Amino acid sequence: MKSFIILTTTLLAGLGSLSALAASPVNSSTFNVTVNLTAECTLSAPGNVTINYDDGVGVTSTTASSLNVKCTNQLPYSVALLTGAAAAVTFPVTDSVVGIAYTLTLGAPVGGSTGTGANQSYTITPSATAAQTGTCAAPTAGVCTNTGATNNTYLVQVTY
Amino acid sequence: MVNKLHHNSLIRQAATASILALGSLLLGCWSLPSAAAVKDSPALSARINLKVGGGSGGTALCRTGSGIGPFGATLTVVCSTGILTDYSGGASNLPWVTAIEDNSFRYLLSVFGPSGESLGVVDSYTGVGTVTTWRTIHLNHQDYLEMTVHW
Repeated sequence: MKSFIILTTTLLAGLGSLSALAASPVNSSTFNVTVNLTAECTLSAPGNVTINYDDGVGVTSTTASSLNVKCTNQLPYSVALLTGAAAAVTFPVTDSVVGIAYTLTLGAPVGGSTGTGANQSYTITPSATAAQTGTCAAPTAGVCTNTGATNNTYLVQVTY
Repeated sequence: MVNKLHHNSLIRQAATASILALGSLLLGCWSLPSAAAVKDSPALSARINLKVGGGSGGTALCRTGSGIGPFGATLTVVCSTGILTDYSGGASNLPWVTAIEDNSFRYLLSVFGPSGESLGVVDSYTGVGTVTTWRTIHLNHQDYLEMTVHW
């Protein structure tokens, strides 16, 4: 009798669960995942370039500069030197203080001008023609520098 | 029943229109060319160190035609300071060497005639800090040498 009651109770509980299950609707739906990737380029800070020039003779030594450009993978970009409103890869200029004409050249990067997601190095190389006679009103130890020049500041600009 | 069917149809049409509109918007955004972006690096400067004085090692050679030997005495003058640093050859026939050692520059001007013949030399010296200019003036079939000295 006791077993019969337990069995009956269990059966009734099972039937109750089944009916509860049958009464609960199951709903599901699909959803999308949206990824918004903002492609961009970043630049490191370039160092200064230096030209040591022997008046009337020519360049005795130079110091080039370099910087890294990092762009999103597969992103095409271009770089140029910028001074004032002018941008170019090769920039000839005559210094406003010492009067020496020189050229800054932005070198091609390793790997081309398409982003890889990693740093790509560029060099800025100065050069000057020989036998120039510059301007030197007050040399210090026989040397004049172009401190205060109005046309010796540059930027590297990346466009993407 | 008919109203319910019609209502469901309207809902489906509205949903379809919304999906199409959203799809068009997404396609439009995809095809629109994005505006070019630019970024500038921090500034860099081009520094120029101009060494004046010229010549090799900042010196210049001064020669005289009145010295010993075919080439005379060779004097080396440091251009930036005007100080005589060295001379080779005997100085017994070069009394003006003393003047050179007193930091005076020696100017030797060879004068040539219109046909290229040598008319002689103008041998003189001036002290440090003196600016000297030379010019020849042709006047009345004569050549005059004008030397101006400033100190």
